[in-house]
Amino acid sequence: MLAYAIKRSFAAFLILIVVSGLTFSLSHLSADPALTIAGEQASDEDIQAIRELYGFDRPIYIQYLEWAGRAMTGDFGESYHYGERVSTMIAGRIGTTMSLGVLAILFALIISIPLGVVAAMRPNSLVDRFALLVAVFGQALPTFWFALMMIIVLGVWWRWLPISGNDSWAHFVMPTIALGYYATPALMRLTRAGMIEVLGSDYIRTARAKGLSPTVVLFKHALRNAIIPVVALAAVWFGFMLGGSIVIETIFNLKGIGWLSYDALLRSDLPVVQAIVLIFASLYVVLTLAADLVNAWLDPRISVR
Amino acid sequence: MTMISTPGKSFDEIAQETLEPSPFSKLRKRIFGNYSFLAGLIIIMAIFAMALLAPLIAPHNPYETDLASRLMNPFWHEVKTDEEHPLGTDKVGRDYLSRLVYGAQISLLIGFSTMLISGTIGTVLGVAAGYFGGRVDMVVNFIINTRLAMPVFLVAMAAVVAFGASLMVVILVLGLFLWDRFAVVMRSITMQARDLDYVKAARAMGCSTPYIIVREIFPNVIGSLTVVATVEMANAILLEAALSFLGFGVQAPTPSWGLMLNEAREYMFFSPWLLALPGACLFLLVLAINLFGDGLRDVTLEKGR
Amino acid sequence: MSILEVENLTVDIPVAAGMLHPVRSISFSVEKGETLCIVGESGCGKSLTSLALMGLLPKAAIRRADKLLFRGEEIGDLPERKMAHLRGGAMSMIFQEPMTSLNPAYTIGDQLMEVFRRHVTRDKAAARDRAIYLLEKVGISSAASRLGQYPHQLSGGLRQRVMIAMALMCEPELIIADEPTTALDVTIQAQILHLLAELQNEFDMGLILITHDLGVVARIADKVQVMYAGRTVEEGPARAVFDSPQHPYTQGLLRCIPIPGKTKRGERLGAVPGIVPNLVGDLSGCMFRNRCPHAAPVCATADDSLVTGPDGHANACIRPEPERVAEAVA
Repeated sequence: MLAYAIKRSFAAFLILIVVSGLTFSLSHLSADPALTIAGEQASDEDIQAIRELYGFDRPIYIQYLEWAGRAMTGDFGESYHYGERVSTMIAGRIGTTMSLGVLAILFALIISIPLGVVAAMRPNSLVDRFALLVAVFGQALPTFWFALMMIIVLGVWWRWLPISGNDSWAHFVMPTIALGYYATPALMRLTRAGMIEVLGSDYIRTARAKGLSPTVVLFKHALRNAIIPVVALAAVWFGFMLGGSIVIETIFNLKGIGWLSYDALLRSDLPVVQAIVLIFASLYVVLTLAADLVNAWLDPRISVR
Repeated sequence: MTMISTPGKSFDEIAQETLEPSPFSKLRKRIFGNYSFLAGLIIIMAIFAMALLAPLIAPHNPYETDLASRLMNPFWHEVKTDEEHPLGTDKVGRDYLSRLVYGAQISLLIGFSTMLISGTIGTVLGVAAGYFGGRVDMVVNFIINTRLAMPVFLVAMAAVVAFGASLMVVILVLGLFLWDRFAVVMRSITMQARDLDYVKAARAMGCSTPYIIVREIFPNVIGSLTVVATVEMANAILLEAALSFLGFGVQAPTPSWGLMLNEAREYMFFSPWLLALPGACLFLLVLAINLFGDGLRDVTLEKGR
Repeated sequence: MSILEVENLTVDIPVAAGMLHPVRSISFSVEKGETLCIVGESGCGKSLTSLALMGLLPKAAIRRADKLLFRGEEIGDLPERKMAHLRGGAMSMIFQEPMTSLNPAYTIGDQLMEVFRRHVTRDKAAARDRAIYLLEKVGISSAASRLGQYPHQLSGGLRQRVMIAMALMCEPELIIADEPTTALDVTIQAQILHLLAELQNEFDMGLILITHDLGVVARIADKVQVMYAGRTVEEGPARAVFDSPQHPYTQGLLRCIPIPGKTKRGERLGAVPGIVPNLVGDLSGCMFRNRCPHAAPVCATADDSLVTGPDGHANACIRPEPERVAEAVA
């Protein structure tokens, strides 16, 4: 188990190095950072001076190693555009993104679990058919378009909800729905499939043979077992939601790190972009690693492989 | 944003999940009869025909601006309509119907080209890993995991910034990113096919590796390949739209549905149909591809893969 | 008064090909302290019979019975709510698969106490005492510390003991055990059976034991009922059925087991050739006829009801032994 954990952690670390290396090279291809920093009116001498000051004239792998070394201590340098420390900028905004991600995944679970459970209890019923429609249409609906339509209907026509900013809880309602609905088809399918399997299991028959009430059979004995894989999948979807937050935060002007990455890309603010890519990648890697280790812990055979 | 594969699961599980008919497939058959596949196919064909015959169908040149008739309303409005422009005009007076018709070209072009590039990369990697196993498999696994750890949308935006926004760049970037599912599925199926008796026999008879892969393995994987292709095509179309919507994709004045949504954003208060129409087109196309893919999955599975 | 009296129990299940008739008009009764063994190969309807008694049939299945008396009261038309109060309380059931019949998410203590608290008293301490008492009764050592264990920490034999303890929690008057030993090791099988018989004696319960293992039946049955293709083909006191099996199917089954002292060393054991017929659609005559060595044309159409002899030993053969002998002589 320990050997397995070490092996997997090492692989995860290697992945992060490759991902950050690729992003680093890519972003340094994109624009001459010295030009970005110096601004449009700068003279050639100024630019040259900045190049030497920041060390942009050195080979790219040296620059990368230097950046990576500092990144490991949580130092991502300074924003070219705002001059602020990148770590500070991210620290101030990551809360918004995390809240959005958590709210969105909760929204998805609140919709998908009851729907999946009822669909599983009565296959082919009206509810089941409705669940199917939600799944089929949900998967084809472009997130950002859905967000825009919500803004038009809920924000502009009916004026129920604010359409931009992050000042109050109400500002999070539409972004949460827009980001969360996309995970519902997958989570609902898993709930439904899991419930159908569990409801047909021997221990549910035992529970019924004990004369327990249908409510206890359903909630105590069935749901708990069916829900474990759903929660695991939800944790993983949380990672995807952070990626989706770029579009949603931009649309709703919600100033989290998704919005920050969009803003930074517009301004070729490389240190910010690199830091956010690394954060997203690390989150993915950590979630995967955690899921793998939990699986290995639950099923000792895995680590032997 | 995109539904990439799920961490915490083995590649085999992911592959199986992609290929197995969803738990809803039976139900879908009940609701839509066996017509969902057909309906998907018909809509795709219709959009395809629309794209091919765009010069014949479109009433106007999609690039022709006419500031005198800007923001004409579509036919269902009572005021400020023009029989010349049944779906109205955009902010610079271009005929919206014509732009929507030409937009199909862009989406389909992106979908097909991306699918070809990513399909090639993914299939080569996946078949190599599955067929040779051992070290090759290990390396490919690492590459797949690295790719999965990259936040696609963010890195794609960065790449577009680096290489300049154009149709070609968007296709290349998406093609270089969306191969993961191909690789995972091809790897798993090739592994199964490799152990089939007649493939073993061919190896025992001393057939060359390329011969075995092309003649014995490939016929086994082609069905699944098509299924994955539909999934990734839908994915690519949605991603392009999102990129273009944020301004990191196809550039004006190209009539891309995503870009049209971008341009229409500032008129969402007074001309919401400018937003509604391109999004509805996207939704319809992706829905059709999904229905088609689901149907194909049932067919492939019935044939026993 | 019998604890359970069943008359003409029928189970029908609609399937794609038509109506499946897995259990057709079977009758039996169980007294206090009595063991009834229902015997037959897989697919003969014996498990569905037990589920039908408990009201646990799959939703699609249709159950009918002229009489379904439990403690003298008709339970055939009892609403689900009232039926649930009987289940696990006055009548309980032990299943075939101890490995999967316990919920993996809860400790065995929780699962044992749950049924007691549902039917007897909410009192947690009382439930706990009862659980410990019964775990000891079923031969589990250090019972108190076992309460906190999860099913996956126990072996199959232990789990089946837990299932038995669970079935006994509310002092049931009737226990239905559906092949309780099939999934266990041979040595464990004997222990579990022994335990069941002992507990049944001690608590004076009615026991319906469903099995395909005639060796088991010989050891603990008071009454035997042999089922084939959803019908009772022979029934009677265990001794009578074993000593002079009347129905060709029972005779075939008995030839399949070695009997100490009777079966000679090296002698080949018998087998019943052929397969169980399809039970979909309209059925008539004796269902065993296509496997029966004594089948005659009349077997396809005649009535296969049980004919009871003087000692309560009944069999459903259309051409019973005396007739066959007479024919042979003629």
